[in-house]
Amino acid sequence: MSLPAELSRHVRATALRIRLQRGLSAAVILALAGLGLAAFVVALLKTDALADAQAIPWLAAAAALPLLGLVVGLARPVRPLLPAKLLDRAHGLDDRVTNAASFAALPRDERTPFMDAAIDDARAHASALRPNRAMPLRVPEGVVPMLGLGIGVAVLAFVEVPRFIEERPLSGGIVPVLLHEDDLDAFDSGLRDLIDDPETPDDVRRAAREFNRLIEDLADERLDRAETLRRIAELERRLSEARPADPDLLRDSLAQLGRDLERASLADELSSALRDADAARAEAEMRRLAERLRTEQPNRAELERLRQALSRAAENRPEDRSEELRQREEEVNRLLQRQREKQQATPQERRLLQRRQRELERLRREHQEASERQRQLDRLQRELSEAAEQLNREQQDQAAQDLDQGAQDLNRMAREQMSDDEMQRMQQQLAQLRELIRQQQQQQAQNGQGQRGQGGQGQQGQSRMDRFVLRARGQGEGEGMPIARPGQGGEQGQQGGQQGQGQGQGQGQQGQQGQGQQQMLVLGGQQGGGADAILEIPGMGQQQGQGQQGTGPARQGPGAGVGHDPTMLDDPTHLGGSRQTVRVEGRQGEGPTRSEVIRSSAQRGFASRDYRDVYTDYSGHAEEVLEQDEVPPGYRSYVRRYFQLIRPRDE
Amino acid sequence: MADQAKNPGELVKAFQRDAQKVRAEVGKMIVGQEDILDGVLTCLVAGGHALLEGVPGLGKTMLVRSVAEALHLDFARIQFTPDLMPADILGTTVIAEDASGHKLFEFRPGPVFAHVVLADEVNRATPKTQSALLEVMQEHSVTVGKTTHKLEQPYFVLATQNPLEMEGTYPLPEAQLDRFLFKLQVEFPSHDELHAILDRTTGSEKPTLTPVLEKARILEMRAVARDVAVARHVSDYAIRILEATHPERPSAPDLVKRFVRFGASPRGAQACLLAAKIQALFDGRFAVSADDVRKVARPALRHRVILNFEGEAEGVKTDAILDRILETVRETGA
Repeated sequence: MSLPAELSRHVRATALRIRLQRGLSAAVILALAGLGLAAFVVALLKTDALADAQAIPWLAAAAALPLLGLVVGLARPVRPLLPAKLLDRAHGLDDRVTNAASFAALPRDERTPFMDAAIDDARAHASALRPNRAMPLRVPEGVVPMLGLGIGVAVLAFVEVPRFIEERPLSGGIVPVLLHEDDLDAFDSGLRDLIDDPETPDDVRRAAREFNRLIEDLADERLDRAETLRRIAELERRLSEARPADPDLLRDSLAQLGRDLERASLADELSSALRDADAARAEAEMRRLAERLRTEQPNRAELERLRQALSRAAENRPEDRSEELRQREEEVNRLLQRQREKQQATPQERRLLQRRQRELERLRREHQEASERQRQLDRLQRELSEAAEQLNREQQDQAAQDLDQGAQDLNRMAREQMSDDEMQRMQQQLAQLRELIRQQQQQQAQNGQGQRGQGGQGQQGQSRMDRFVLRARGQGEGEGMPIARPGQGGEQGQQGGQQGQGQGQGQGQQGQQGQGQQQMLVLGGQQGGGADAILEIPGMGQQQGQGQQGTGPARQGPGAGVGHDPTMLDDPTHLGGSRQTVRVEGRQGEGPTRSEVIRSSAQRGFASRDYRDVYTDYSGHAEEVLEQDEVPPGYRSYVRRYFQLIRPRDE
Repeated sequence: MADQAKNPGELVKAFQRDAQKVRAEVGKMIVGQEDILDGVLTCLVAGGHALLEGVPGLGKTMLVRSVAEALHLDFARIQFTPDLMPADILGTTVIAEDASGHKLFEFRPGPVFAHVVLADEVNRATPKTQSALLEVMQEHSVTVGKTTHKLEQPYFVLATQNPLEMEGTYPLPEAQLDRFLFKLQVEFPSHDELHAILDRTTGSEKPTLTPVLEKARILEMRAVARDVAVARHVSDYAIRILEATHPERPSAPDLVKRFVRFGASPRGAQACLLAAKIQALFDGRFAVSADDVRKVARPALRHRVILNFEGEAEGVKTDAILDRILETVRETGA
């Protein structure tokens, strides 16, 4: 005989409540442990002691701990008589239910009449039993600390932990690098966006944080020139190592795929994105194409063209460069071996040896990356091949699935591409920073002062920069300022690095670009002057005359052509090569025209939304030109510096 | 075995009813002391004997006499003195003449030949006399010469010890104490109880008791008590309490390890369980609960736990030790 149903029901319910209470208590205890772990991991993340990818498993473990506690608590066996005991205690039954449970478990022939009577007696009380009285569910003890700790972890996750930078007092003799706040802000704002963007890949974020630290140290005047350049070199080296050795491989392969897909009208946009080697856009277009295959019914001809295009794309293999890379590796290895065998090497030979070693490392990395890249492309091509096969079988849905898979491959490539683009931008910024410091050093060498500011001498340079920044922000006076004329080696103490450069710049600016003529860097005014307010841009060549006379004897710079990069293409006084006028056309619509925006910026500064739009267009074009055309390196930094100075400011 | 024709429900109800009758009847004479009365009844129904301890004048004799009257049992009181001989309590053989004038030996039974015997201040008698009584308690018979005289059931001995005048006395040895089912401590009455006592005992009206049960019924009640069910976990609980009285056991609390020389014998567990059955019947239940065991643990075990020198020197009470044991020993399954 088992326990009567009226009793066993209550006993089971009480047992369940016991398990539930245990589960809750265990979950809370392990939640405390999990939150402690999460707090530790978050703290490590905030202080960059742990990468995001490394932190995720630990955070997942921390999140899983309370679930584990709940499961363990629920699974722990309950002592057989405990539920009955609790029922008896809660209802004052003097062990009636417990005894009944005990007697009911005995074999029939072992039970006495009194035992049966005891079971009946307990059953008579069954209707009054309440499992919730026997085992009331209590809030586990650790709930309040758990909530407190949870809030603490949440706050820690969202709050920036101040980095405690070890205060290294400047020893006597260190001359700190002094950069203007506006320049530091220019570097900092770009890095901030990268660090804060959750989409930023980990390696890019790490590099951005390193760069940011450098900027912060410069802002705190902790670094002298040597240390700054050393850190810049270190960052550049890390960025170089992180970037793919051969970025063209992916671009070429994607472009080839794009060409293969050209003839399929359904894949027009996809083909265009691939030809541009824009993996992110290609991914979106591929998904769109997959969706179209699912939801629409393209005609047979279009599908057949698409199938053929996909087949072609799947068959065309990009050139396998692994053999070529391998041969180059062997060749460099042979040269290296020969050099090492030489007993006495001259300093020149040693430098050559180091260069060859670096080249070998680079080749190995290139080889490795090429293999990885090849694998990615093979995967993509396999998906395209399967898609083609499914289209052949008139299985559009399956084909769409294959295209979705292919889009995922493109997504991975896009992320790597973005990562590479961001790192390239950071490398450019580092080069710019290096150039700034170099210019500062030349300035200091000429006037022997270490004043903050750039493009001016001493206090004058400082105040010019300050005035410029005020104007750029839309503050300060705007009338009557002379037109900034670039490259005239103009005022006293002008930086030698500026000399002979910047002549005839003005691509993309309003106004015309002459061929081989000297042009003025005009901002906000027409060629040859005008009634509009204009803005003097420090460091871009200062005008002589018009109240800007120097106070001392005129000093000449080192002269044109001295100190230029030997790889310059032409006579340093003339831009070589053909130039092409690029005119950025505005669009019809409400609001000021582009010319009005540009002209008014000289008066109102660079703190308007309209100006931001115009700037984005022009700077984008300028960047394209710098990448595609053969522009001398000296000019590149000059152009970038220009666009940095005229960048939009916050309103 | 109890009457199988009657179902347990009827048996238990009858038991409860009869016990209540006895309480009510005795209550006419005795004020308060319900616990002592229940203890006495428990010992009587269990077939055991009780040791009463308390200062003089608390109504111990009156209580026992009242119980005997209510149960229509023969009562005998023996005042133990140092010169009391075994024959004085057991009986002796005397030379008597029969109707025809022949002389013969005749056994004259002693005061132990009653149903209820009150052995007052048993610690005043010599060990020899004590032993005689204890043997009667154990055997329920008296052997004189070659003849064994059986004592009629129910047979119930209540012995008293005066805790005040211990000098020159012979406290019962531990081995002898073990024969008593319960040791009951009679407490001084409360203020209100004293009022009632004075009202009843100093007035003109003296209550009289009428028998409410016969001896046959007591024997039936004994049988019913033995039939009460005990679950395994309850008997396990009683055993673990007993084990905890032994200082060498791991389950013994620190107090036991420090102050106890010897723990209770298995008789202690027997006493606990038997008495717990009767407690269950008093409550109208068919099975023993852990609470019943806890309730009878003190009277059943307090005289079976022997203190060591340190315990006695510190004045530790065995009740305090039992309280600690009951706190630390958890019920089985709880």
